[in-house]
Formats: sequence, C-alpha cells, structure tokens
Amino acid sequence: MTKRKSDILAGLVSILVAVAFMVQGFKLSDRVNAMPLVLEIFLIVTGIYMLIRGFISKGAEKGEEGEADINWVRAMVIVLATFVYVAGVIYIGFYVSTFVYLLLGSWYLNEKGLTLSALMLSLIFSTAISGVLYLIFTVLLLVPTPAGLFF
Amino acid sequence: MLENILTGFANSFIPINFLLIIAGLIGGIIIGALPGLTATMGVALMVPITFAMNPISGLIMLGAIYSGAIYGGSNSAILINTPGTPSSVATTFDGWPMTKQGNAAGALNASLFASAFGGVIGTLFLLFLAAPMAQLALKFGAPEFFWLCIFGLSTIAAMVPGNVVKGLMSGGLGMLISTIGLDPLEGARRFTFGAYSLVQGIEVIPAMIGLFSFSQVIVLVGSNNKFIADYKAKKGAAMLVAKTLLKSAKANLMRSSIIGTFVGILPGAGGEIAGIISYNEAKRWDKNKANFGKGAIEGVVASEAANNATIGGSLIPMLTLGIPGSAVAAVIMGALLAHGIQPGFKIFANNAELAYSFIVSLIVVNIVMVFVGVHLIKGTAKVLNVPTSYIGVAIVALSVIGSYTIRNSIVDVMVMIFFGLVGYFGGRVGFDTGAMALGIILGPIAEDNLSRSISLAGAEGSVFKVFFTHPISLLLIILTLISVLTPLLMAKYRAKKEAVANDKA
Repeated sequence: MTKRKSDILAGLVSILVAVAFMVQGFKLSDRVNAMPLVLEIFLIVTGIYMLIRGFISKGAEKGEEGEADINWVRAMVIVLATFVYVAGVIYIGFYVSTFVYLLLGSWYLNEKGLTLSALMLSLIFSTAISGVLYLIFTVLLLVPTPAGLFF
Repeated sequence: MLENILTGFANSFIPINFLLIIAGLIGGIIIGALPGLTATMGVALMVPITFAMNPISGLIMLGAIYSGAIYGGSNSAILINTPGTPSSVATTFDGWPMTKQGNAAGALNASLFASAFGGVIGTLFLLFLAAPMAQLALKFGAPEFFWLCIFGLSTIAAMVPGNVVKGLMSGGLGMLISTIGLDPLEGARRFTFGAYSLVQGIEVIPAMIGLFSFSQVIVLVGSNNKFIADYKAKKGAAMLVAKTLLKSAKANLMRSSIIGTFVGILPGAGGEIAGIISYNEAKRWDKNKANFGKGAIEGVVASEAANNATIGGSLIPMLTLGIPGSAVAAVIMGALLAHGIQPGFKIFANNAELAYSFIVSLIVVNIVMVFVGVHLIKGTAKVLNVPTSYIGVAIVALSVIGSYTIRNSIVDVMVMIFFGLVGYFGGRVGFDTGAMALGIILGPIAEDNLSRSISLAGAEGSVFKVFFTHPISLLLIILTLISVLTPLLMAKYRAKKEAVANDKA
C-alpha cells in the first residue's frame, strides 16, 4: 500500500469512528460527554489533515512498515476458523472446541500438507496442549471455563 | 532495625520458607507468562493457602508469587509479542523485535536481570525510605494523577517519531474506545451502540492480547516463515547479558527502578504506567534513540526494571498507611488482616519480625529469581523452535482463555478478536498498536481524575488553581512539555544538520 493510500484510509477511519461516537454522544450530558467530545474533535481534525496530506502527496511513496507479503488465504482461514472456534466455545465448551481447533488448525497450516502423518502430529499436539490447559486452568487454578454442551 | 533485618534474612533462609520462595517464584512466573492470568489473580488464589501457615511463611510466599508474576509477564511479551501482564506492555516494544532478530535469549536474560535489580531497589526504598515516600504519595491528588497520565501519554510523541500524527491518532482512538461503558462521573451508559454487553466497558487485558497477540498470529500464519524466529541456545548468554548491563545500563537500571518505585507508591498507577514512563525516559537519555522500537536491549531493561520496582513501591503505602498501592498490595493487605495484623506505621513496632521478614524476603526473592529464571529461560525460549503452524493456533487458544478468565465473559473474547483485527489492519495503514494500547490503559485513569479535578475546581471556584498551581502538577506539566517538544526539536536539529552537511558536500 502506498503512503498516499494509507494516509487517506487512516484519515477516513479516524473521521468515521469519531463521527459514530459523536452521534452516540448527542444524548449524553455535557459533563459525561466532555472528554469523549474533545477526543472526537481531535480525531476529526487529524483525520482531515491525513486526508489532505494523502490527496496532495505523490502516489508512489513507500508504504507503511511491516507490510510483508502475506498469504491471505491462510490468514483469513485462521481468522474465520477463530470465529467458529469462539462460537464452539460458547455452545460446545472450551476444551472440546480447543481440541478440535488446534487439531484442524495446525493440520491445515502444516507445511507438509494435509497428509495422514501431519494429522497424527496435530493430534498429539492438540491433545497435549488441551491437556496442559485443563491441568493449569481447571485442576490447579480452579478457573471456570465456558462449559457449553460438553466441557 | 538492624536486628530486625538480620532476623528477616534468617527467616528467609529457613528451609521451608526458602522452598516456598522457589515454589512461589516458579508458580508466579508461569502465571505471569500466561496471558490473562495476572499477578493479582495468582496472589489472590494463594491467599487461602496461607491461612494454614504461619503469617511470615505465608507472606514470604505471596511476595515470591507477586515478584515472579510481574517478571513472568515479560516472557510471553518477548517470545510471542503478548504481554503476560499489562505491566509488560512496554517490554514488547523492543523485546519482540529482539526475538525476531534471533536474540530472544538476550532479551529474556536482560528482562530477568533488570526485573531482579528493579525488585531489589524497590524493596530497599520500602525498607529504608517508606515513611517519607508515603508522605509524598499523599500529596498526589486527582489533578496530579491527571497530569501524570498526560505525561504518560506524551510518550507517544517519542514512540513513533517518524509518524507522530498517526501515533497521536492511535492514542486518541485508544482513549476514545476506552470511554465505552459506564462513565466514571454519573454512571451513565456511553457509546454501547445498542449492545448491552458493552455496558461493562472494554477490559484492558483482552484489548492488549488482541492488539499485540492475535494481530501477530495473523502475520505469523500468513507468512511463509517456518518458525517465529531463529533461535539457537548459546552457552554463556546470561553472563554476556549481565556484563553488557553492568557496563552500559547502570544509569538506565537505576533511573527506571526509581521511577518504578515512585509510580508504585501511587494508588491506581501500576507497572504498566511505570514501564511506559521508564521506557520513554530511557529513550530520551540514550545516545542511540533511533534503536528504540527496533530491538534495543535498553528498552527491555527500562520497562522490566520499572515494573518490578513497583512491587516495593506499592507496598510502601500499604504497610505504612494501610492504603494499598496496587490491586496485589490490596490482596496482601487482606491476607494480613485475615491473620489479625493491622497494616499501618504501628506494624513496624507491634509486628516488627513479620514486617521486616516480609520486606527482607523480597530482596532474597529477587536474588533467587535470577537463578530460577536463568533455568526457566532455557526451557521457555524453546517455544521458538516450534513451527508456526502449531504455535499460531496455540497462541489463539491461549488468547481466548486468557481473555475469558479476566471476567468470565465471552464478550471479552470478542473484544480480543476485534482488537486483533484492529491491530492488524490498523498497522497496515500506519496506526501504532503501542500508542493505541497506551490510550486504552491511560484513558480511563485520565478521565476519572479529570472529572474529579473539575469537581474540585467547582468547589474551589478556580480551574486554574486546581490544575496549574500545585507544585507536583507544575513539575509534571514541564516534564510533559519536554517530552513532547524534545523529539520535535531533535528532528528539526537533525534536519538542519543534514542540510548543512549536504550544502558542504
């Protein structure tokens, strides 16, 4: 992404967030809304500055740091799988969902591909991690975890 | 006093107490390293066990867990860019880049030595200067706290020198998001966007886990790297780091420890604020400022020395005034009360053996921590030898349980994922996760104290008098101005110098 594009996007995000909060804040009393309002104005002003900077700057300038090439498919599969995992945590239970997520997630990401040997390694890994988590959180620290249908 | 100190040392080396120190440290380090499990939680969980012990042994163990947990947070901050406790937020700034450069051992050992050093200095202040420092802490009212937060926020200018505006925007966004929930003044519901679950507000730890950890998972699994970073165990790594710190980090260690001790005394201000302020000061006074944020060992040292020094600091008002300086100090105070011991100045007269044994044991704890930590590091660093395909999903599982356990709320898990996406996509347009984290941490404290200061100004009839005439406030205002202006002036000076050099060429 070029610097120009990132400036414009950052400006837009900043203004949109500030406006959304501002609209919500209309119902609040002045005392309650004082600091948020100052922040909203600050974000709108800096957002406008970013938009202007983005529009007047030359297009080819280098983008932001940390923009290494990324395998979007792998990244998005894991993000989506995490949403499914969290839904599983609610409805099925933390430990069962964690076991399944670790098993399928590590198998999918494995560089050997979806082979049987990779699946076996993932099985050992997910059993071990789920077991350690159970030992630490449930047995030793007695921390409640979402139960769901199973546990 | 000397007699009591010697008795304290003797009590620390009684076999059962010494074993409790080692066990407490190991337990504390593990708790601290696991995201979501805080020092407060670790100490609180162990308080009931102390009821079966004599009070001295119980307190010694709680002190060991406290110290271990605050240090332990740096392990995950360095190895997987996830602060194990909020105190280690500033450790990620340089600890994680050091890991990516293949120097995880250097960062881990530096954090260990700095933590131990900070812990000892904080305890020495507790031992010898508790009374005057507690009096100074009492002079901190709401306006002083407000300016302290503003001083902390001024760090942003130094944090992202190449992109100050986006850094400030990130901090502003963090602060605005932190206003979600009930307001501190009237308890009115704010910015919930119709979602009732947001009434409880945005919890800091899930937001941190998301910003630093989940966003990093997206980078990890999307990259083609087989491992997080190159790591090969080197013999003598600990000695090498110790020599480096002795040679070039003495001032940094001392300055950060003093900052940490002082911030620790202030109720409500903890290791996260101490770490951030110390990091900023370390950067300001360092000759190689440009290295900070790119893997400077000095950054790790500053953050870790400061956050462990807050332990001694937070116990000063608790032991001398009966006012805990942190949530953990409050839990320890509860343990004291449960044993029938009333904290306050009289504790040093009525329960001298207990008070001094507890304080002196903290010195022993920090020294023993070095030996325990050096051995644990050898094991924990091996996490870098696990392929990213396994470590990525394991971090997600830890992040989910870590976020959930804070309030047993699935909303916090959603918050973690949301901030993970904000951290990742925000990073792509130049928003700074560190500055945003700072806004989320300091925003509520700043607003709370601003509201109280305004109420105070209403009662006194002068905003100017409340905000700008107290000596501590003035000092903090001056420090803030220096903090904001120094990077700008330095950038101008460098540009001028370069222009002159170019003209000559």
